[in-house]
Amino acid sequence: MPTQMPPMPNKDDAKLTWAYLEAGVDKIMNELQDGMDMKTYMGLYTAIHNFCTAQKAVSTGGGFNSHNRGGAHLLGEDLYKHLIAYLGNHLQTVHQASKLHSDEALLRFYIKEWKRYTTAATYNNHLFRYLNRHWVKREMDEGKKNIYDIYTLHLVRWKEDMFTSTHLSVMDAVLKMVEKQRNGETIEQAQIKAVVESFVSLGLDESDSTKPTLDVYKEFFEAPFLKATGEYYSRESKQFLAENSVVEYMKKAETRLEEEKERVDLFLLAEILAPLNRTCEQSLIQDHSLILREEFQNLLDRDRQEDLGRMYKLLSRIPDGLDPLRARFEVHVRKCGLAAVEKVAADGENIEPKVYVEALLGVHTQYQDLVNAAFGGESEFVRSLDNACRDFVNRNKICKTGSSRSPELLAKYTDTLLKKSNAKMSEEDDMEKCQTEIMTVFKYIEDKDVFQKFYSRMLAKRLVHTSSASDDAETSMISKLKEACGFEYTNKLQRMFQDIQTSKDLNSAYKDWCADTYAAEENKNAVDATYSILGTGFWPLTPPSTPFIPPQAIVKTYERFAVFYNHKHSGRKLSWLWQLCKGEIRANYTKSAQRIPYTFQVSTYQMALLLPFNDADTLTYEQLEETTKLQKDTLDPCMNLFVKAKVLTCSPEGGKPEAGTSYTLNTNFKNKKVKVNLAITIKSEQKQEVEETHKTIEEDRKLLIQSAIVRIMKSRKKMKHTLLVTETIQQIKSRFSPKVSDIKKCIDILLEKEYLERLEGDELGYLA
Amino acid sequence: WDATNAVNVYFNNPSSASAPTGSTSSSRTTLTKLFDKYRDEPRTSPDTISISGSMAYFQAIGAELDDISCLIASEIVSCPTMGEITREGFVEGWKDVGGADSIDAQKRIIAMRRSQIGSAAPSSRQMLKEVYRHTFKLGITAQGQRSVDKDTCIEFWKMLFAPPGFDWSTESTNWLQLWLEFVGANGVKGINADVWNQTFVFAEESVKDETLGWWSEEAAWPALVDEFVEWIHEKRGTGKGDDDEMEY
Repeated sequence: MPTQMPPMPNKDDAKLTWAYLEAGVDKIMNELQDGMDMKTYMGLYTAIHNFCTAQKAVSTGGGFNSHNRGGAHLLGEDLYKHLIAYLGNHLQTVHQASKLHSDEALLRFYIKEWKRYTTAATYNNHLFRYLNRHWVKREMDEGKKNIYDIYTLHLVRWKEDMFTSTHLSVMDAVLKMVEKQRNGETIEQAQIKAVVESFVSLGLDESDSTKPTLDVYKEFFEAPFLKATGEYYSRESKQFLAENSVVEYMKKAETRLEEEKERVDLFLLAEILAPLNRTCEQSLIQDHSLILREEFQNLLDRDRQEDLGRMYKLLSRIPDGLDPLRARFEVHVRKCGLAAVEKVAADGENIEPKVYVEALLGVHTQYQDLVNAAFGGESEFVRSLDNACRDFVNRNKICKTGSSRSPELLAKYTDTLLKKSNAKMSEEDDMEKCQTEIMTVFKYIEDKDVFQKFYSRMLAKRLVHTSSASDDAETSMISKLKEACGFEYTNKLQRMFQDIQTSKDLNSAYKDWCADTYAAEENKNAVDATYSILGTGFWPLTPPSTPFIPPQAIVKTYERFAVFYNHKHSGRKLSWLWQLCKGEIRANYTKSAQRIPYTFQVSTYQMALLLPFNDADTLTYEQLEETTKLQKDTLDPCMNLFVKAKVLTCSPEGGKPEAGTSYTLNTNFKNKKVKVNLAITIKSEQKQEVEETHKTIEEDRKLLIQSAIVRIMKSRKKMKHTLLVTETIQQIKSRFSPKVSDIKKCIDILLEKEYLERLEGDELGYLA
Repeated sequence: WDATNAVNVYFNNPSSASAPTGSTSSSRTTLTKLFDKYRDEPRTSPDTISISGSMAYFQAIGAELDDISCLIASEIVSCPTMGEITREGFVEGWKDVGGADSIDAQKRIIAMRRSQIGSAAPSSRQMLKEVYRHTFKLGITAQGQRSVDKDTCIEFWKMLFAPPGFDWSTESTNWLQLWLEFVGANGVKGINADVWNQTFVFAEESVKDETLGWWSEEAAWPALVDEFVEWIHEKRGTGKGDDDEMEY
């Protein structure tokens, strides 16, 4: 039953007018579902208009604008105040009714009332449009506080008369529901969403009511919501951890975080995501970060990639969560590296380079995979991995005697890889893969100069003895090194390569020249030889350490080449590196049943020692010494080898290579192979070579440091001592890590040589 | 070399330090004559007193060969090397010291300087420094030689770093003895000018603070000094390496 509207009041009668209006407003507020006809609505609207424009109501005079204005002002205010009083009454009733409900019922009630109220507010706002447009606007223009348009007024009243006294119980109900949902129950999410919306609507900017703010929502919804969330998860996580493993807990936490994120989409304001995350992270991760980190070592030990990944993701969500992990990770990798090397070292003095390099690589590969799989390849973890690797590659049990062991072994490994004998390694992919692996270790090597030294020596050998497996592989390795260390690092290596290329052309030119110069018969009888012309400055080779008279049989041959070469490049000096030359001689003397005579592959020194046996079956040590002029330390190992290989027999039997011992050709020589290689490098020679290499490294380093210092001082003229040391380290770091004391020694030398002078206050000066 | 002059004047005539140097042509003549008296071979080398002459001369002025007084005298007359005196060095040297032109006067000055040189007064220290620096030159025997034989240096240090010279020792440490022990055992053969001069600076510092707390590997000390400090720390058991295991 719609309420009967009272008759239209006289426009001057405030009391009657309000009574009329109140009936209308009340109808809108409480019986809108019954509808309102246009006539009533227009009537109400007109009544407001009439009332507001009535002039007589309070005016004593008439005609003045100011009075008109003042009149309308007062009249408007009247209506406004009545409306406030009405709303107050209404909300009082609603509030009373709300007390009868609690929990979900309260929510339902609150939302229902809210909806009804705000709909009415919209209507009333229309109804009072005239008031809004004139009186309210003027009041607001004049800067009056607490005057709002009618819709806003409704909200303000709700906030004052309803919200303030109910929000606690409402939130209580909301939080209970959310907790139910967190516990796995199904709830009516729409209600919470409606509550959120209502709270947001109440956020009014005092200075500009058209601008909504989230203040109310933040204070009365977000804050308690976050607090309850934090408490809930604090409680839950503590309990869960008490009953479950950390690994299980991490899964739980991960699920919870995901759920909370979904909850936002379902019924919360997107705004809350960031603070909600922070709250959850605090209770679920931060508060347990110690326990989580404790577990890290465990997971590393058991190589649990998936769980490590989970831990990474969880801890990456809290500030500085990962730093302790990185530190532990670094320590762990270093330990693993050291342990792997220790294992290799346990096999004894002679470390197989391949085994060593593979041990280093194994650890690196394992943890690089882990970083990529579990830690998303994060750059800081990569850095920790690099630090650890650099450390155990350069400082481990095998490097105890000096960090140069690693580069030495790596270079040796590279050598075996690039050598011909390595038949199994011919697959190109494998070669490429191995080279890449070598570069991985190389990257961590601090003494890159040591690697360079050994590498160039071994490359020289491969090239001179044509024992290189493939030119392509060699080129590819050099270009990798160049890429890593620059042109200067590989310059000499490349020149060596070129020399060999040039030598090939030169040899064929020599053949042509011989054919042109000598008779065919003469060429036929000549010793067939090939020559490598090696530029002095580029090859890590030294002239022979012993005097030597080459065997007569080859003298003519090499002299002829010398003529050819000097003809082609006059002014160049050829020196023969006899210690690197090799040849083949045929043993026609053996009594063996074999039809094909044996061929001995020998060094030139060995050749010179065997050829005299063409003229005599037995020769004394002194005679051989006299013929070849070889020094004892070269001669003796050769003789020992001949005896050991049973090419020669010595008398007295077991006699040492010394004056008094004589040697006889063994005509009963036997061997399974037709070609017998006697030109084997002897262990002691190898060792000596390694020592020599190390020695040259030391000297080169001193020079490198000194030239760096001079270079720096030349450009700076004056410099503080400490600064000079730092700068020098900077410049040299890419080749090796110089010790401060070594740099200081070099400064001492330069002071003594008067390249530098000591100035006041720890400064050094450059003396041109 | 104003400081040198001032010091020379002071030590020559303490009562009238500010008086102008009494350089007269007569003292120059007297000094020249005195020089001539000690020449060994006036005909072949008229402007040099060599070893036997200078020994006689040093003896005459009371400068013993194994004593700091010999180094003091050598510095005054600017001996280019041990036991060699040039005419110019002799005449100009004594003239700068106020024209002490008789053996007696010179003897007095040597004795006075000897008694003062070990004092901590700035003027004494300055004098010691001059003598110390000049002493290195005495060890140079060949042209272009850049360092002085270690054993020679050790003899010099013995004279310079013990009373009546600079007393290089502190309450708990006999620095000179340690230094000589260290250098003696060290592989170095010669001491160059820089190490020689820096040793003096080091000696001064070590006396100021015998814990060597001021030392740092980063500082500009020559390698030999660094090694010495490390050696000392090892000896004292205050090396860096074992710090964590030490209990204070």
